[in-house]
Amino acid sequence: MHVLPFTYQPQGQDWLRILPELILLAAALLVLLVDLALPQRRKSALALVGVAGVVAAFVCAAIMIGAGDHQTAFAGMIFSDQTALLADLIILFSAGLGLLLSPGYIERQGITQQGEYYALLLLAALGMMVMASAANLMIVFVGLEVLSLALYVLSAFIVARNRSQEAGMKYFILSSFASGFLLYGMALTYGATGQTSLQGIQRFLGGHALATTSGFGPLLIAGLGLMAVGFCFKVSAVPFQAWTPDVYAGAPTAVTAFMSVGTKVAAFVALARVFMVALHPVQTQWTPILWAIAVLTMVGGNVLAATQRNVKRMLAYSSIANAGYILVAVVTGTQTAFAALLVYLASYAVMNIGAFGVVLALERNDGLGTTLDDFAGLGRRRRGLAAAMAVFLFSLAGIPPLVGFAGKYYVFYAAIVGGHLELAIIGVLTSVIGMFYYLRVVWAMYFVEPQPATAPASVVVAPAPEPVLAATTAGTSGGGSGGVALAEPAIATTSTATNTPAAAEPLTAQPAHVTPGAWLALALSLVLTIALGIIPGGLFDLANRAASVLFH
Amino acid sequence: MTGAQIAFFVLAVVAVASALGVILFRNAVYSMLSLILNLLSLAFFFLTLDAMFVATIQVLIYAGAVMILFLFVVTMLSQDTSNTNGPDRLRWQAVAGVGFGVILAGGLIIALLNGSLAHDAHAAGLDTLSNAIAALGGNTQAFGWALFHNFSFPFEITSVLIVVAILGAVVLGRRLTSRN
Repeated sequence: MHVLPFTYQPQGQDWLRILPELILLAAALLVLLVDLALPQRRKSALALVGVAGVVAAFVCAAIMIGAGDHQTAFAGMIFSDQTALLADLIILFSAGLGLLLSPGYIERQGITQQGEYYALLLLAALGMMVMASAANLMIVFVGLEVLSLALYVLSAFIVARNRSQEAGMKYFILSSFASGFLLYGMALTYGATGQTSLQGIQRFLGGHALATTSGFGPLLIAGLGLMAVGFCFKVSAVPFQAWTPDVYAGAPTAVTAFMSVGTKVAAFVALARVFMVALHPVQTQWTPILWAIAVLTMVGGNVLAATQRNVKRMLAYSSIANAGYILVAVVTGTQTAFAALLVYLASYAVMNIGAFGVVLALERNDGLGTTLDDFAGLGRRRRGLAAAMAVFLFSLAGIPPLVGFAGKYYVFYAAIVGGHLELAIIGVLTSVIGMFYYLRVVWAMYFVEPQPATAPASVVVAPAPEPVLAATTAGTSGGGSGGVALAEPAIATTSTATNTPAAAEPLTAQPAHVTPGAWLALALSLVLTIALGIIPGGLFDLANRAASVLFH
Repeated sequence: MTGAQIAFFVLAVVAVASALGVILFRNAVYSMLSLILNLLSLAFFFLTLDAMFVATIQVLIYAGAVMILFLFVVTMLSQDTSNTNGPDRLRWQAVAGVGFGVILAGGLIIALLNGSLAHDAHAAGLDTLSNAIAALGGNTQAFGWALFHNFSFPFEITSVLIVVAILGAVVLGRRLTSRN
């Protein structure tokens, strides 16, 4: 007689272990309900509801880290270990900052469906947390789909901007394709091991006699190869990076700030759990694949970023380059490398959201105003913003004593100790290219004179969309949005054709709007960029403890 | 050759041919119809694997409800084929795509033919699904037990996924109506 399988009953403690996720879900549903009761001009209050939910979930996750209960919940489906909780903290931090940056900005961009916007942002964060905590390939996939679906829609949220529509569509089509690869890889891995649980896969491969002799069958190799493709697409590693600049530049900047960080945290923690921990027994099989991708990503991301004149696109390419540094930690595959990966993700979150926050403050209603020429002379016009941007860029370039240096230092240290000196050398060399394009923006802000607008055509066209946009915001129907959509390509062509800082004049005419929430977000990331850079001990400690639990 | 093998080869040909039809037909309605055929042949595959419940659900939900909706949408939208018939300016991409596709397919065929460790897993008693069907006295019972016990968490999270999908459809759909 067989033992009865599948008898697991969820207990109260299972729900307690996913409390941060539950709080976030409740906040998202609450936002949708409150949205029905608020009049259109009061909708910014929804951001407050969202921020309250995020703060509650953040506090909850922080308390749970202190409590130190590293169990799985729901029959080994989801971890609530320190890695999961630390990832939760980073994701919640970026979601909170994304929410703070949104009010004001999304109204300027003519977004009227604010309830859905905030709810989708919270649900995307929920999907990221689930993916980062997943203890089973199935949960990895479902979490990934929750966050991806929400981000497709968020990317396409600006009705009046064709590039936002294009971003959403492009992201949707390419990302679904990558999801197919990931799912097929998971299916083959299941076929090879008979397990979807990460701990089960590790136990099965570790206890298998073939592990030491001839390696595993081609089925497992095909499975992990396809999974690597899927994950590398999601973290935008070269050669799967083509979508990243278009999507990051086209999406609303508040969404870009949030997703550039959140998606990376979720996908990299899941990637590390699958490859560094579950597939650890077959490390020799996947190291060459990820080694090549890491090198390509570091070189490709940095070289392409150096050719950009639009700061938003430059930051998109820089996020590709950063994915390369994090992949170095994955390839190294040791316990120290896992801790370094967590530290790097935290440091990247803090400084990158700040940099996008400054870009958001300078962006105009038509989505322009973010080229290098627009940054020229910013040090005199907007002292606060320019100083903050300089700090974020110095940190991204990896200059001590800022947090970016701490992250890079730890990753390269782990690579050298773990026997991948060559990756550390490539990493340091490509970081030098990084310094060039980050510091070029600082140079533009402080040492380049803003040129006056010369092209008369752009002066005629540029002011046109703003009243129309304002009308759309006020709630007019059809004609308004159509007009903007038609007007936009014209603007784009004039400004690219003139190729001169036509933006300089409209920029002074329309000063950067920074709402109190956005100031708070910038201040938070500024303080953390400096504080975590000077005293990184606490972060290192937390990451080391998290890694030691996984590699005990 | 046993009956199961004959059934497999017939079904395999139908499944692959209909899958090719989905992407090769120029008429969207034909594509939809061959997708239905493809889903039906998958349902028969599930039957040959003793997964009767999944086969029934496959027919009811996919081949039945979802695909009929698709078909409605395709027939109701105007069939503008002007874009699909234009000259392909990225011909090298198609060539490279076919090349990489052949490499990938070859790799997967080698992987699948060269067997797996799954029968080891089966021998080690890890194949809980067969055990469950035997112990619980049926497909549907085993499915239900699995869904609402050990797999209750993925089940719940999927409901969040559907909430996100509905929200997205509302956002994008309402905008379409306000634009026109």
